[in-house]
Amino acid sequence: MSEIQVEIKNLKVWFKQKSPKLLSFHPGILKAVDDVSFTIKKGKTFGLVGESGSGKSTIGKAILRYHKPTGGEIYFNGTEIGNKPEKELLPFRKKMQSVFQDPYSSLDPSHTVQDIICEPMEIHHMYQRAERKERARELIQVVGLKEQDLLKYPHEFSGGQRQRISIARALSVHPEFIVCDEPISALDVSLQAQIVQMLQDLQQEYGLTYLFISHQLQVVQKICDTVGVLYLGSLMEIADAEHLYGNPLHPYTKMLISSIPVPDPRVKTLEHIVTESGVQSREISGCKFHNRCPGCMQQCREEVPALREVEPGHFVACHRCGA
Amino acid sequence: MNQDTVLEVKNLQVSFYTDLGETQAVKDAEFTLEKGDFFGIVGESGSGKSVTTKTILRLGPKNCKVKGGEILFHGKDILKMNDSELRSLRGKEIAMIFQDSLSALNPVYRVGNKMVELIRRNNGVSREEARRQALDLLKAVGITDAENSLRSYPHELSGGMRQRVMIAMAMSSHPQVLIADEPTTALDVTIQAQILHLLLDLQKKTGMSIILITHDLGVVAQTCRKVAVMCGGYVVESGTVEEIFLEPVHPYTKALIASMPKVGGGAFEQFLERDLSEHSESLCPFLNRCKYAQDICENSLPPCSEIGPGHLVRCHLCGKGAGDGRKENSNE
Repeated sequence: MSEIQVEIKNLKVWFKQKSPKLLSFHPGILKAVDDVSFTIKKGKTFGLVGESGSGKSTIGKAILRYHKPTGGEIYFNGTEIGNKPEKELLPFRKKMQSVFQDPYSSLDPSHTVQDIICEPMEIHHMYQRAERKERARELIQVVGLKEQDLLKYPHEFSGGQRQRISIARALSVHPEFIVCDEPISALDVSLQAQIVQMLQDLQQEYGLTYLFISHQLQVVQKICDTVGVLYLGSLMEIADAEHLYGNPLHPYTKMLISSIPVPDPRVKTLEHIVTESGVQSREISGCKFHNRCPGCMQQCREEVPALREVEPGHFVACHRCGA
Repeated sequence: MNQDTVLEVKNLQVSFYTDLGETQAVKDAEFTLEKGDFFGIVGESGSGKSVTTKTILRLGPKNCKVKGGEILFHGKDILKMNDSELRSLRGKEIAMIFQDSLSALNPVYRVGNKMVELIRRNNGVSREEARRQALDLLKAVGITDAENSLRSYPHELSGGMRQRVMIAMAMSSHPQVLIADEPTTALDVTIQAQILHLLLDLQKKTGMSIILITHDLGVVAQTCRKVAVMCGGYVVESGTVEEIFLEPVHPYTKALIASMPKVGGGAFEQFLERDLSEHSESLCPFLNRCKYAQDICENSLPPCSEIGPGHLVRCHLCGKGAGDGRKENSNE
């Protein structure tokens, strides 16, 4: 049993909205994340998948405390950080870093690459000035760029190269945990493979723990140990990556997997697409997915299914599964 | 010329002129679109796929210039058309939908307003008739609450809904060709599947030809009948979807297929060596990343050769007579 790096318990992140949408039970409140619990083991990769609006990025940001949780607890190395005041967070921030989706807006255009990589170290008062530069030189090579690139500005790089700079910046303060929020979604397939390979190599070398957020299930399967499937702020299924793809139990997971276009013209998946009647809706009773679910029962409309362990390590929130 | 040929792009060259000089975005694009074709153009960003299709409608920015080639629409060269001829072509004969539906729709007009304007302009009908047609179109693209959608502003609709509106607008003039530039890239997989399903459905019903631009090979495999693979401004391989996916010949196509992450499949490791260093303009666009590169590749641009009926490849090693890279019926 390996150590637990991050544990979240009953995490809730609610946002206030200016204008309540239609008929809402809680006017003006958007429950982006509603009662989510999971653990991430040290040195492992936990994947979060779901459609847009499912709250996957919000969870990542809540763990990093960019958002203050409305309820629930977040444990980092056993210490509760979800409710700590801002001032006490700095030592934890050093241990957790992030890589974002858009490599164009996540790098300051007026800084050189060297400044960008050195900034986190300055904030955390690490090293002397000269040592920081030395470390930037090391890191830029670790991520596969050249030393002379340090004096260039972000606009001189392609998307894939910028993502490498983001990773170098994240690594600069020796983090233990990195939230990768759709790090490869904006890249070409040939580059995706490279960045994923690099993330995996770095994990091996530095013993990093990742929270990998993506809407591309194919990618998540390749690099994650455990995967959680989110739908409108709730976890629908958690399982080992192999298990989840080999034996998806929740109808939502099945729907997601069957929607992926297979790159093989002999297998026509589109023909079997069920045209859905329902749309995403947060304010429905019972199981949130029931209006899109092909196997909806009376019970699903009334009762919220709990996340239950149906096989060792395989959790599903569905009335029809493993009863 | 074949009776069924709708659109023919021949030896197209497009350049951009900036302060830094000339950039050749499209160096040699060539493909033929027949009636009822579902044609895919795949390639990485910067391969020239969008520029090629925008040039078909002459939608390039001011600093973009067509340097050579022909685009024949029913035998008539679009590149030689004057403004009024172009006006009757754009949106009517050839319609286009874009990736970013939010910026493609005017944010200050209600959807209905925009649709009625478009339908009246293209079909010359009364306001009431146009509104009725707009409603029918929205229903045809699977919007259940069409009345309400007509009254909405673009930002009030979800991404999938907006893309449906875009398709409805494009369909309003019964175009012969629909160009879809990455129509599903910004959408969730479940919505993507629905939109692709819709496009297939519309194509079957109306018999129009569709050009689908995408970087997702999965999307191509599921929808298209013919594919052109673009790399560095050239069409490096084109053929039927079966030829491209099951018997790819060009090293670039092979590498692209191998680098696709697949559910259940193991091969994700094998990928291209990305090397962006500039090389001479007149060489194979894939030379830097090709693991089969030989001396001949460093000396001259490979010609386009036909290795099977309609299966074109631009590679020294795969052409007729080269033998070495040529593999027929060996994959199965």
